[in-house]
Amino acid sequence: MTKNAKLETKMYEMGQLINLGKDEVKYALKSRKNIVVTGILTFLAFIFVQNIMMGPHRYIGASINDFIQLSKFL
Amino acid sequence: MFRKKVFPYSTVVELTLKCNMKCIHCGSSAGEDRKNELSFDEWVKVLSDLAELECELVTLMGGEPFLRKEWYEIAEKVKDFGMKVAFISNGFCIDDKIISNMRKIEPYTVAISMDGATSETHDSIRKVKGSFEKCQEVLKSLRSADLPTTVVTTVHKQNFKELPKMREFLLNKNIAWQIQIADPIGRFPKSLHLSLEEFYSVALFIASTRQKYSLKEMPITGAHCIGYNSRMLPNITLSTRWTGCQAGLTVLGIQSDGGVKGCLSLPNSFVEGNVRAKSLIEIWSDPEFCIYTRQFKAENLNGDCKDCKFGKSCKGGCNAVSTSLTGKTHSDPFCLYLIEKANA
Repeated sequence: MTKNAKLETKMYEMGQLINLGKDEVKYALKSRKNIVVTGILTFLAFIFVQNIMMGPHRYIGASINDFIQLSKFL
Repeated sequence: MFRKKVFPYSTVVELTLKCNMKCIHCGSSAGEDRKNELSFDEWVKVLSDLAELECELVTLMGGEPFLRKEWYEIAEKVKDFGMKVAFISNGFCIDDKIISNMRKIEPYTVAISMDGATSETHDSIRKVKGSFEKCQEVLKSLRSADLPTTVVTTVHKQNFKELPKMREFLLNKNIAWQIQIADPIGRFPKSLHLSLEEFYSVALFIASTRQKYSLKEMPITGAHCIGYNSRMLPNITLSTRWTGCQAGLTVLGIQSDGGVKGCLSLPNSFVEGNVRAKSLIEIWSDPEFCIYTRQFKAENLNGDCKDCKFGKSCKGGCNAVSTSLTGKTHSDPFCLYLIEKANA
């Protein structure tokens, strides 16, 4: 069992203490995932808009191209 | 010395310690008024100093603030000095006249304590029969009068299981809901304090409610004592990020006898001056005031917070919870991150 799976099981148990069903606990966890996904999408949208608006004259942040270049080093 | 300019953005004022209830979780053991409570003129001087310190919000509480004879005149003065005013009350003595006066004040919010979903629970916690019925009646009247209304629920072993049922009652009523945990100070016995797992279940409840309902349907938040750096749950408090105890930084507490402390939730040993001996401006400007937050260093962390990777930014959580449970500042064990770490 992974650390997160063990913790999720424990969270279901803790939710039961307050009569929260699995669905309710899932809601709580889902909102965390939503925040992460929203963050990533916002970042990608920012890069996309910046690319369209600035073209070769980018002056802040990374572009998709920079990102691809950077990923080679990861 | 602190470099950044600090000002008491939010000041909580205990207008009187007199109270018409004897709640089991009362941190200040309210009931009788304090000997030598500040006079109206002394409060005016305090409020004038607060305005000069650029305070923006003054919350009037007690005891029961509406038992203070000049509550209206004092609230009016807060407004005259250009600050917003909020009330925290148990609602038991609120009548049409008080509501009509509150409307003139245009408060930021009127917070009413509700500690259970049934009269059996609420009345037994507040030790006054009929208080639950009155609470519901007052909430209805406040909404009818179009006053911004908040319900504050203090949770402990006797009532935390009723939160889902309370939600049913508060849903779609345009009432904000703040949930906080009872600390073992004042009248509250340690035996009724939530366990770490029960505490986590309350956080789960707030997080799932936030996800399940829109802010308009159920504007719910955890207080400053709930929820730091969770890996599994989103932020469940009002501020976007917990940056440590705000006592003496953006928050200030003033007792009805003039005693000043960084936060009214802290025990009496944290009183660092009295407005009768020194002006509030002098107390606030003293570099030694609230040294535990203003001059915080990572070395000050205690307990499990000492080796925590969030220690520097979290500063050991809520100092009121920390001192009431461990006797030390900067070591709040009621931390979502710590609980998750222990169960991973």
